[in-house]
Amino acid sequence: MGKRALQSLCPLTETTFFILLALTEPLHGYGIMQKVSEMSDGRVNLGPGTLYGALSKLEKLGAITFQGEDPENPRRKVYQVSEEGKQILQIETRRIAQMASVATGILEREEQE
Amino acid sequence: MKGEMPMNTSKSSKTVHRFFTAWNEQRETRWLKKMSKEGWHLSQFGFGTYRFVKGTPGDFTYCFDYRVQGGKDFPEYTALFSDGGWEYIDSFANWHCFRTQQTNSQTPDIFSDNRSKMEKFIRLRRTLVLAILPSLLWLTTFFPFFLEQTDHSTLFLLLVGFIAAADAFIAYGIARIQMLIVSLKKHPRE
Repeated sequence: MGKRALQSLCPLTETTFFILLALTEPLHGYGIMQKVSEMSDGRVNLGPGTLYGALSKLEKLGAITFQGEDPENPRRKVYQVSEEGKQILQIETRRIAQMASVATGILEREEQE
Repeated sequence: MKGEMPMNTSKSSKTVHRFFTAWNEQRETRWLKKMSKEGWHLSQFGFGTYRFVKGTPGDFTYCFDYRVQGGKDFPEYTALFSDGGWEYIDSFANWHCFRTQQTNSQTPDIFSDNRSKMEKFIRLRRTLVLAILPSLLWLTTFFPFFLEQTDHSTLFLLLVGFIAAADAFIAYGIARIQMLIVSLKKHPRE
């Protein structure tokens, strides 16, 4: 799939952002659920229906790639973020950081007034 | 909508005929929850048919996913649910039923955001549109031609009437599902 299809993911939803972030290391679905919950301090708990839909979509768009089956449980498939997926993650992280920094500046100024 | 009609009742299992619609899913899942509390656990379901097995009463939350699922990916699909604490019950016509006993959140759901909930109804809408198109086309292109003829067999009229009624019901369903999609789209996150 081309770049344009991948850009249809942007701006990333919280769910997609955390899934891509979790997949900077190879993980199966259950691993993703646990890591996302951990990274978000328990705020984002992925439902299996949501995760399955997101994984199929991300794989179809080429943002993640299938790495093979988990040797301990072949029903679990292992995925990892692709180069293109990593690029999206970087672009989005810059966008969010810019938003956070400008918001922090404005809110701090307001508090001082 | 039909009332509850237990059939083939025996001590350990029973079949109940009830009809629920996809746009009123909560009615169905609430009923299944109530049945489990009474010790009747869903084991199979079909068109308007539910099979229950008698067991220890428990508080279960039931959820349905709608997904055209290829056989190859099915083990991965159900494994993901069981890893997430959801027991796979049965599938019928692309509907997949799961249940959980989790109580970590007030109402456990297989979907954690409204976007994926909406995507389920978009998949369902697609199936319904594909189901209605051929007969709708048939009704609108051939029906006027048949009307011009004066001699109609009863069977033919019954068939046309049946197709028209089925189409009207599906069209109503599409409209109701469209309303759900629109309301979920307005709130992409909970």
